Amino acid sequence: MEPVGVGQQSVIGGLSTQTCAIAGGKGGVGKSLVSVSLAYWLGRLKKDVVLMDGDLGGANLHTMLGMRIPKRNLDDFILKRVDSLEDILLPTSMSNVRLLAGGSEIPALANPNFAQKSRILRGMKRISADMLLVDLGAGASLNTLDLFLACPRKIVVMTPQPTSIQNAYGFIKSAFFRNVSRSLRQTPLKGLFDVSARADDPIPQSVEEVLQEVSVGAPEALEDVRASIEDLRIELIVNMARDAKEFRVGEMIREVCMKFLGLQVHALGTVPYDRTLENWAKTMDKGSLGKDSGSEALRAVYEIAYDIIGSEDRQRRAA
Amino acid sequence: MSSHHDMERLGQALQGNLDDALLREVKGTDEVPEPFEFPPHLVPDERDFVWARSKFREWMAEGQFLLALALLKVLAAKWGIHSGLQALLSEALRFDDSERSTEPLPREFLGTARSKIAWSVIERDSLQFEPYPESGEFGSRTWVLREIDISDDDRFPNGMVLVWRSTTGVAGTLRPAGQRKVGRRRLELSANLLFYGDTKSRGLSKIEVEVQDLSASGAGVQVRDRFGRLVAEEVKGDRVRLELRRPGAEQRVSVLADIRWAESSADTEHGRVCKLGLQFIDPQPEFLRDVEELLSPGKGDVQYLWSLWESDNKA
Repeated sequence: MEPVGVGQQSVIGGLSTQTCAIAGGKGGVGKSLVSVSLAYWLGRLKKDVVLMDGDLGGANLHTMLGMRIPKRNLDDFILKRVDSLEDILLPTSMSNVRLLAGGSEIPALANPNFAQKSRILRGMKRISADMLLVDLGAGASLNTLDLFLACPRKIVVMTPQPTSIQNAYGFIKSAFFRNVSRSLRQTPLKGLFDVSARADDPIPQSVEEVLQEVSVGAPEALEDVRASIEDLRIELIVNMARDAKEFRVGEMIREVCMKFLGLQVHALGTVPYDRTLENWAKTMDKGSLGKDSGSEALRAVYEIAYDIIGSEDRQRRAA
Repeated sequence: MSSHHDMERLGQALQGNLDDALLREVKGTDEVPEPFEFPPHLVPDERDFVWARSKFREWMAEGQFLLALALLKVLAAKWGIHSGLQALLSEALRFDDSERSTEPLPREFLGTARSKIAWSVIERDSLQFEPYPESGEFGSRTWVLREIDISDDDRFPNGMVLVWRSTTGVAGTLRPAGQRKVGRRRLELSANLLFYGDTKSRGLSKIEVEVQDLSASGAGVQVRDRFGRLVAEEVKGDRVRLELRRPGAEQRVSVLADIRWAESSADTEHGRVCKLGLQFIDPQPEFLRDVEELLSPGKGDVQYLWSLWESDNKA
């Protein structure tokens, strides 16, 4: 086991490739359930896993794991009661899985300032684990996007519902803009995506428009912007799919992202709808997850976990 | 009636001086002519053009851009587009002085400095006198050039207005300020093509097509012709109706079109693929609104996503 920050360093945020953000534009798509069941399988596959509640404004992952009031949480770290995020990790009923519970004492933590964000990211780098899964909150606030982009591995969870399709694409598009804007901070185009600063000029909406604006307004940043677009890889999990048609929803997002944003979006897997995970979430029975070996959903998450480990191992060997 | 007299009357009409202009000619009738007939003669000669240029520049200098453009519009309709008018239009398009502007700037109104597109707007839009609406609302894409108080005429209790009503509110030809110009855009959108006349008698009445590119003036569509009924050489020049539904819209909209070109590709496993180039004929505002939605910058990706989703659901 090594600190996740010690492995292969990513370009953004300095977090290692073993850090994985799990996001979704919309609430209720089963993002946290996917996170927990992924953590469960990764733990069963002998990986030391830390599951972090990255929903800074509405932490509740501990509740899903049967902890009504966690003994320690992110507040302790932010308020400097402890020095390290390691000090607040809590054991769970899942083997090899520890929880980093979100805070609830500090209302302002929903919108942390720069120093707090930096402290959290520095703390994440020092966590010693094989895999850090960061379950992000719903929506596409800048803090959520920043945390998402800081993680080398980026997963978006969606369902085949039209509202989820729309929000998943919206989230990816927002991440794309936020990512490009990082490359333009020191250029005259730093307000390229700021609607209020461009009242008379619309913000670019596609990769072509972005590159065109940059080539005219900040040609010195063009290569950086290109690189930031090429490096941004997003993976997609379609949750609660009921039939073959719904299994194809991820393909649609992939196609639109490539066509309009020039983004590589990969289908990581599809989790079929079954009631196992739903029932488990309702009862919050901390020992029951994984007991229903016939669950198609759990089996699908297992496949995804297996793929993640495989690709992590391949990357480590390559590094 | 001298030509120059007509020019003076045109100037007065555009400025809303109806007592001295043509509205008096309809007094005593119950109908307002639509569109209002501007002076009908307007035979161009050098003196008329000098007057027009002088009036145009006078209005431009006063910041009355729409009025100046309206003058060009009427003259172009009467005289045809000639080099003198083109030069004046170029002056309008180059003009950019927001401080003096009391009306939309030409660049906002026309959307682009490309004179071809500018002429398209000027030719296609309507310019007419209308009773002042009781609701006080004119609808979108309507610019009021003049409000005319004619309280002595009880047919128009609220007076009249001279309005420029745009029918080409499509990105690429006319766009509000702050929108990006977008020309023809690639799409994948299911639609129907309805045939009439000879083509219908050959057994083709309605076929499903895929709209592959679209603009305000035309579309490129592709037909998978499994039974070989569509012969490119035979349908070229035919008049058809294109019927489409924008993803998310409840109603279908349609437009008449002429098939300007047609190409058939070699047979594939799904039958012959035929591509048709359509030129729209007098597209109606509701059709143009949907086209605008489809072409709107920043919405193309979402529209595309929904068209994929709807196609998949349909399949």
